[in-house]
Amino acid sequence: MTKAIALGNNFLLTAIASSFLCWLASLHPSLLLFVQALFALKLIISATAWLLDDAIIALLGIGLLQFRFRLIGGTIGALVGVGVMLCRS
Amino acid sequence: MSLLKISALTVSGVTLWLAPPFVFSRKIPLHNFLQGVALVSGFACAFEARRCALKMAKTEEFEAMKDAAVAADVVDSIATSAYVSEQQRRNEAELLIASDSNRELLERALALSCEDEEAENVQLAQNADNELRERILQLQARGYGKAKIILEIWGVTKGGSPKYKAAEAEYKRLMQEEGV
Repeated sequence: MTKAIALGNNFLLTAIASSFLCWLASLHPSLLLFVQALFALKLIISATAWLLDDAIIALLGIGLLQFRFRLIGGTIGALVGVGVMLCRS
Repeated sequence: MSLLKISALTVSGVTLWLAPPFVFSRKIPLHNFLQGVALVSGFACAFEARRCALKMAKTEEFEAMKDAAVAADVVDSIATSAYVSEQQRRNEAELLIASDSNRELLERALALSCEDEEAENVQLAQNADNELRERILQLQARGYGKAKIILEIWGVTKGGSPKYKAAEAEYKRLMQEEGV
C-alpha cells in the first residue's frame, strides 16, 4: 500500500515538475526555448536509456521490468503535466 | 496517523497541481504568480508524501520481518518443548520397562528363595522325625512300652486327652514310616 503510494507520488512529482516547466515557459519566450530544450534533452535521454537498457540496469542495480516501468511512467507523467498546462484556461 | 498524513499530502499535491491552472487566469499577473506558487507547493507536498511513504514502507518491512522472526521463535520453542516432552516420555517408558524386568528378576529370585526355604523346612522336619524315631527305638530297646515312651518323649500320661491322642498319632506315624 505505502509502496504504491510512493510510486503514485513519483508519477505526481514528474507531472508537477513538467507542469512547472510549462508554467515557466509561459512567462518569457526565451524561457520557452529553454524549456523546449529541456524536454528535447529528456526525450533524447529516454530514448538512449531505452536502447541501452541492459547497461543501465547493470549500473543502477535494478530489474529490467522496473527500469522500463520507471521510464514509461516518467514519460507519461511528463506528457500529462504538459497536457494539463496546455489545457488550462 | 502516518498514513493519514501521506494521504493528506498526496491529495494536497494533486489539488495544488490541478486546481490553479483551471481556476486562475494566466492573463492576470497575480493569478499567474499564484499558479507558480501552487505548483511549487504541490511539488513539495508530493515530495514529502513520497518520502514519508518510503519511510513507512521500510518500517512495515522491518515489522513484518520482526513478526516473522517472533513467529519462527514461537514455532521453534513449541517444537523444542514437544521434542523434549517426547524424549522425556520415552525415557520414562524405558525406565518403566527396565524396572518391570527388574521386578521379574526379583519375583523369580523370591520364588527360588521360597522353594529353598520350603526344602529346608522339610529337611528340618525330617531331621526332627529321625531324632524322635531314634529316641523311640532306643526306648523300645530298653524295653519301654508305648505309653511309657509317649510319657518320656511328649510328657503326656495315658488317657483320653487330646494331647495324648495327638502324641499317640505322631508315635504311630513315626513307627509306620519306620516300617515297624
